[in-house]
Amino acid sequence: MSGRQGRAKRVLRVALAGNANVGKSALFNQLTGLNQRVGNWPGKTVEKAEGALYYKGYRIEVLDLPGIYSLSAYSQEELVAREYIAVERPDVVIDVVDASALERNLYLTLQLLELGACVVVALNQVDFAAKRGIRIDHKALSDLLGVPVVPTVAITGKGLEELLEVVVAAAEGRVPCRPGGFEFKDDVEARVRRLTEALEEGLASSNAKLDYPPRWVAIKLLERDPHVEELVSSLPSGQELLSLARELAAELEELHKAASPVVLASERYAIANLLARSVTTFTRRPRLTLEERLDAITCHRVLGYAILGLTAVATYALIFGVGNLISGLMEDAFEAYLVPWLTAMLEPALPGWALDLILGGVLEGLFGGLAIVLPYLLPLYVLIAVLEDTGYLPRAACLMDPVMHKMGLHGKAFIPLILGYGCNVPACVGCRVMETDRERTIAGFAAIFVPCSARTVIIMGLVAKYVSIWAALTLYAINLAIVFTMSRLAYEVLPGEAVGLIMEMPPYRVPMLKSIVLKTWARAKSFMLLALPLIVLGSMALQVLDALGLVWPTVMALAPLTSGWLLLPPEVGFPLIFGFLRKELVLTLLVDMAGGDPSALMGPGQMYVFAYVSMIYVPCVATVATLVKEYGWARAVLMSLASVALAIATGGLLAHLLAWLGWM
Amino acid sequence: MEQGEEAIVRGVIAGYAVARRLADMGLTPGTVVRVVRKNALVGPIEVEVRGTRLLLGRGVASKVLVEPRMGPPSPLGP
Repeated sequence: MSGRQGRAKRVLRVALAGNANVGKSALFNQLTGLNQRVGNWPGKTVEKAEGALYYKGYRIEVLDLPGIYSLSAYSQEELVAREYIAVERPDVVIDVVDASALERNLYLTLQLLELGACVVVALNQVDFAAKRGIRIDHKALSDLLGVPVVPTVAITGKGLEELLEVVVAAAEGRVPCRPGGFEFKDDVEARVRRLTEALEEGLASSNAKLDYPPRWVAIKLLERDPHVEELVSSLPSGQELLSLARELAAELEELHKAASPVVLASERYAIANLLARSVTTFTRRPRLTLEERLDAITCHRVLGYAILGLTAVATYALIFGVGNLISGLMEDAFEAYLVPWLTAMLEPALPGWALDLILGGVLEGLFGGLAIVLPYLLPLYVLIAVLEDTGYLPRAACLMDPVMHKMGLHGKAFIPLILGYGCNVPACVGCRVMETDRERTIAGFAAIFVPCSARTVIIMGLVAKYVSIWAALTLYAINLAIVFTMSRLAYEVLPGEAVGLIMEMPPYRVPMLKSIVLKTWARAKSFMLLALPLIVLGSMALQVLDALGLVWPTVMALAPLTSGWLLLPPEVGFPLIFGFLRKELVLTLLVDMAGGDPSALMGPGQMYVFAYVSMIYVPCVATVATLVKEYGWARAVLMSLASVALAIATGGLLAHLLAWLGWM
Repeated sequence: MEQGEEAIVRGVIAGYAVARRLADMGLTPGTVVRVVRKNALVGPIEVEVRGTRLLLGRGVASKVLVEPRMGPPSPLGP
């Protein structure tokens, strides 16, 4: 561990925890700067941000846990966070708390203490709170909690030095940071204790060990936490413990006339409330008049939708304006300089097939990834970061919620789906805004049917041009129906509880440039490292197949499908196969094949069917790569196969219908 | 419940996930809730609870039983 900064004696592992919108990312960015990388937690679609810094001889590794409100089993984020803290045991957990919303933030703090973590509280956004007339006595809070509390203003860096001092002191044991947890009210506390003792006995007698502290396990069992129940059931005395837990939980429910998870949440909030009230003074009545006035417009039943529409159009225009520009430039540079140069360099040295493999396969793939997706992804990531940081996203979700509900989703899903009209890749990544895995899968599945700009190229370039603009528009209408139906289907088919919109409305804030740049850079890097190799491999594979002479036989083998069922000329198998690489290729290859005029090859009805199938069948390789990244191979393959099946099945029905109507 | 009104949460009628989530966000029995905004008949409801603002979809809101400062219990939703 001899770092670049001279002799780093030891490594300190620090985790950042806290609600969303409390400035945790700002703190993370301040601490780690460009030394950060973003990826996923293994096997989960939860973003993992890690970074490091050097301080007083320590190399401090910082892990930014996802923003969470609790440590229940509600979402992947919460599960990931609590597992990390209990199993990996970071040296210190910095709990970032929003000074303007102390009570709600302390709800999480109390749970971190229950989990037995070494906690240092960063009381953040104290400046913002002060402006709203809220003053917190951090020393008193520290005394009451039993852990250090450091006031900070993460976006300016104020208080960070002190925070690091305290973190190091806590890690070295010079400052107490593990007080253990708080006592609940009598009847609840009695049962928690009883269950804790039973657990400790059970563990001792069977020489078993748990990663989690017994008291925490007891509390979670009383809360009927399914994951903890499963954990305990695998213990030797598991079944008795579980039935004791259920008995005690039922007693609490009887006494309090509410479900036991709610009872315990109430108790915890009661403690948080008491703590918050004891240390808060109001220098004036907190009012958010500016914000309430803004929201009166942004959430207005008419104006709100107008603003949303404008924002959507502006976002779309910006992403595709900038994207097209950069993409075009890259494409020109590629064709004009890179390809000839490489050809000249490699031609003498390599046999024909290798040249084809490299130019056609590797380069085409790299180009596809870099010049097509990245110019759109970068502005998209920037805009998402801006929308996130300003606090506008929740307002948009609010307006679109009812529509999303009809689809089996909720308001937040609106954003990724709209992005799909430009490119499916950011749409799929964007589905992470949904809280549960189930919701994310539904949204992702719906997203791949949204016609991206490449598909628009096909629809416009073929149907609008050779049939009629109205026919093209009907395709979009049918598409909308399909997106709705597929989403609804996924909703019905996937197991699990549907969760409606429950979202915090954060105050509006001015976004910080540094935060936007860092977020964007980290996300772009992670995309390039994972999706790009897959795209290149896909390209190469197709190139190899072509070289081996396997493509045309495959096209002919598919004739019963393309010709017999879809009533299209069998040659269209060729653009459809290569369309997997980039959907635009479907049109360009078709036009090439038809010697410049598609109408020589197909009648208007056939063009319609062809465009329809292109619109619905398998997403492009970049999207599939993203699906793999977001959902894993199993689901990605399933979704892709489903889209192909849908395209072929309904495409054939459409073809036969049109034939019967005499419109082929 | 109308815009501007305040009420006290009496209970939640929902499955584990939703009840848990609502409780985690602060909507526990005995808590005071203030309706900040209630647009049209179908949009989500914005409420203020424990000093922060939450957006609740209609379906979710209808699962929260509240008692207005004056009057009998009713759902938070429409």
